[in-house]
Amino acid sequence: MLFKATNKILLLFMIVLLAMIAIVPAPLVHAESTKPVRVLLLYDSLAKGTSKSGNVEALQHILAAYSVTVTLQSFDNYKQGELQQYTKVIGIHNVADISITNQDFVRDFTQYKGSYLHIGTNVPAMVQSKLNLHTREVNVDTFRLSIDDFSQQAIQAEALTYITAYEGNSHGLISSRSGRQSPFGVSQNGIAYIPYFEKGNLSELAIGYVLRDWLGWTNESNTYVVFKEIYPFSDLERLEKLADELYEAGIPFVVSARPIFINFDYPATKRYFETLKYVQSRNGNIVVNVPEIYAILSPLERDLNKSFELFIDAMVKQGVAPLGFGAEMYWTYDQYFTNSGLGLFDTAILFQNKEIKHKAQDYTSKSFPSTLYSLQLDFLEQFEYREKALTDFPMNTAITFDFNDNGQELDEAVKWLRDSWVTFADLKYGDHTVTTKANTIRSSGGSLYINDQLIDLATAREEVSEEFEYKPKVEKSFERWFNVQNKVFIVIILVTIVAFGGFFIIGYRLYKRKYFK
Amino acid sequence: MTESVNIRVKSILISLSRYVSPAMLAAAGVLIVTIIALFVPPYIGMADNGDYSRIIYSNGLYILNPDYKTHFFGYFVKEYGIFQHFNEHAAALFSSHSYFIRLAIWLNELFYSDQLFDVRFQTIIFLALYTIAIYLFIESLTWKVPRKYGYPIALIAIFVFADTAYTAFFNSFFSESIMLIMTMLVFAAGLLMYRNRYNDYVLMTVFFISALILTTSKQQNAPVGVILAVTGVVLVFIRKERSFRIWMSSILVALFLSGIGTYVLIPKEFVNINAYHAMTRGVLMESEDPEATLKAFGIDKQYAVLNKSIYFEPFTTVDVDSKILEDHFYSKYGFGSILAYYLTNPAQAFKMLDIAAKHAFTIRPPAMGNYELSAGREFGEQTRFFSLYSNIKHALAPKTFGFVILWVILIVGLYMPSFITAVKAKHMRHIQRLPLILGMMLLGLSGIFVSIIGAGDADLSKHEFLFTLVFDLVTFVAVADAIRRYLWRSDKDAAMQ
Repeated sequence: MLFKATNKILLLFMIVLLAMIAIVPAPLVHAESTKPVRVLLLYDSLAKGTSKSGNVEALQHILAAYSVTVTLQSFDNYKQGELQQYTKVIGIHNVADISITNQDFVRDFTQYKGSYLHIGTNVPAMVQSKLNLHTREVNVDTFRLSIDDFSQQAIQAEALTYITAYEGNSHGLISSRSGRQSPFGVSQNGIAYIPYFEKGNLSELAIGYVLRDWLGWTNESNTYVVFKEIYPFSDLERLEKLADELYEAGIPFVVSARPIFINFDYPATKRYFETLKYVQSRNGNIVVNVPEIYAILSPLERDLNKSFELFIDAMVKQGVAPLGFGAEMYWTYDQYFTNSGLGLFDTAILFQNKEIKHKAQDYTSKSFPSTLYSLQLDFLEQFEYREKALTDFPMNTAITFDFNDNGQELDEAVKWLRDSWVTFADLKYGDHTVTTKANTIRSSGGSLYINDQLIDLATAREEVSEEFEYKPKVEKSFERWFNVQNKVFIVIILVTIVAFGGFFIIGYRLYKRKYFK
Repeated sequence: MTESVNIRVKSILISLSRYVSPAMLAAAGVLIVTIIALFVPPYIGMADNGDYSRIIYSNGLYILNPDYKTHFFGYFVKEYGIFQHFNEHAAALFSSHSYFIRLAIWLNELFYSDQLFDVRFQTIIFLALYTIAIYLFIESLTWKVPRKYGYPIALIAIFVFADTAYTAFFNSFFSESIMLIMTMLVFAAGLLMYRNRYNDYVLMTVFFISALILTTSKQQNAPVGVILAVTGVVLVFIRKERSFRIWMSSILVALFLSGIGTYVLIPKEFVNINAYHAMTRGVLMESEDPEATLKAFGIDKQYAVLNKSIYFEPFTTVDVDSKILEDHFYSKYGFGSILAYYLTNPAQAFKMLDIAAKHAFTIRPPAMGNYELSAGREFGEQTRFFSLYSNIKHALAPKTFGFVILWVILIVGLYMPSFITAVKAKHMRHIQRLPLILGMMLLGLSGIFVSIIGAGDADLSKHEFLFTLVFDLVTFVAVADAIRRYLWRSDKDAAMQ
């Protein structure tokens, strides 16, 4: 009896469960979760020429790693009603004596109910009250910053706000020589505050921890090794040797390979692709580095999408499976690049901006489901850290090296990687897709697929034939006819010369006979 | 009836000649047409192709418009800022063009503004010099020539040399304006010496200064000094006085040295794009086996992937100024090694010359617009005002190097009889005409050779300006000499001055 009743309950439970599954529109849930979060990033000044210069850009760089779509705007350009379109807003105040005069913003901000992160000076009353914040201003200070397993000594700031009391979670610690202490950042219920943020020191990394909490980012983060500055005419043998060295050390890595848009059938190109294929077989992953942009407006119109597709298809033809792209961060803030070219990829490695060459600057970024924040070793070397820390970056991070001819630098990089105990992640274990019109390249669980066909990473390398006809032979018509014609003309000319010679001799004789008798 | 028309034409010519010589007519005609083109709205000028910043910053000017880059290739910009503080842009390149810009800035500050520079102050200087050059050039061909020949020559001169394809360069910072004026002055001075018009010492000075300015206007013109020094040797003997001969010899030596100096002194800073093209759009392009060619230069064969690539492409594999190219590409070759390569591979050289000839008859570079943005024209639109000659030339000239060779042979052939007669008569002044014309033609050819060796086939229509100009000048002289019937024979001796 009891058994029957249990059975009935179980049956009923299953029916209810099935009904629930049927009612909840699963794809919609999925769509909701993949839609990128939109963040409005407001700043008072880019603080050019001061120590804070570049901090807005650094923040954009880190935000990209959390796959959020960022709209960058100055407080001055803010227009009424914009705040209401966002649920996450960041305000950076770089200059203490500039207060917000834009009344549209001031009015809208009092109504704003979403998450807000404040960085720098001029903390709004709302933030102060929600975090129950007490602060103290100090002029010119030298302090130590620590977060997670990282710390940096002797950071200098012209002015610093110490948080003396707060409510909520704290992140990191600022401690001055004179004994003052303050959290690096605090957050509670979507409201967060970071008093100090500059580009190029530990605060750039530390803000990643606060953002992870503030954005509610729960994905596991990984650390990758990336080599960039790889050209078709780089030392390919050295690249293969590097791949061997890293393979033997069990270190998976990524190479960001420069594209070519012409001469795909040249032996030189094939050798380049063969090397990349070899790299791929040695635990290397390939991403397409974006091309150089001609500094000024080029008079030539080219479709970047098409160019990328040509390059990727040529790679695929030779068994190389690129999984994403590598670019300076500003590429994601350019309408032209994001609409044309970058649309083929869902995975990005974003390097620091070096030289910005926009084609159609946009103030709203394009986000990619999988984005790696790139930092260089010399940035890390400013800090003290435990090695374990390198596996625990808050966001997906790429420790990036330049592949150049300086053998010593490269050897040092390999040595550093080999000596470190860090477990670096293998890009192809994640889900990454590159789609051209002709091919779909995909990685999953450590395997690479081209058009859903698993590719064998251990395929033997093909020897590239040196024989190549660089200049296609012009098809000759009537070749035989012209040969015959040539011969006929040669005969005619010879006969004519002989005849002229004859006439000349005859004429000369006649002349002599007439006058020299 | 025809007789009465003839009489009327004659009487008009007589009354005209009383006030206006053919040379004056040509100069005034060119002046008026050019004023209308350049100083009456819509102003005609040349859009920047990105080269301006090299010359203007070192001379104390800067770009005013923050959106200036969007004007590149599309729109002519006439106003620039004048640096008010210390100018840290040390002279990026040594060029005689700088002196004209500085003079223009001085005039601008005197009459207009000390903050805003209007490029037309430079135009005024150029136009004044150009008018003088036209006057002297036409005077050398029409002096003591019957009126019925003189005026048609003057009208043809206006038709050819007032063409806005030439004069639009005045409203720009391109050194083509200097090449135009100075080449004409050099040629005019030489011809006037041949005609024994004006004082030889004055003409010698004009010849020297204009040749010097021409040679030092840009590195590409380095051969000019050398060519003029060599072909000008006859000039030493046109007078018997020792002082003249010493002066003339020193001038020729100075020109020779200035040519070498220009090649050595003009800094390497801006040659990367050209060096890139010299290899990718030149040596490699016509090679049967680019990898073998690269090996011959000691360059890694993988660089073959750059074959035929153009740096002006919006997207390129490598930055033209990158270290990898500096260390492994540019450092492996130079002007000399490329020249040697072409000399040992004549078939390839001829193919390149044929490619060069395709652009050798274009005066107006097709890439650059002529109007200001405010004129409301389309991006890159070019003027049609007074450009019949350049359009005809562009459309009709046979664009092969064979034609260029034929042209050289034809011109030399036409002037050979008078040259032989003069040699037989040991008449130095008359002997000088053919070497002068030959020298001019060599200037043009050097323009072609230098542009191929220096930058492959990239941007040829701009690099070959010197050839297209010399082609016009020499052909014009030949036509004028045919009209005035002094093609086969030398002019009659004028009284010594």
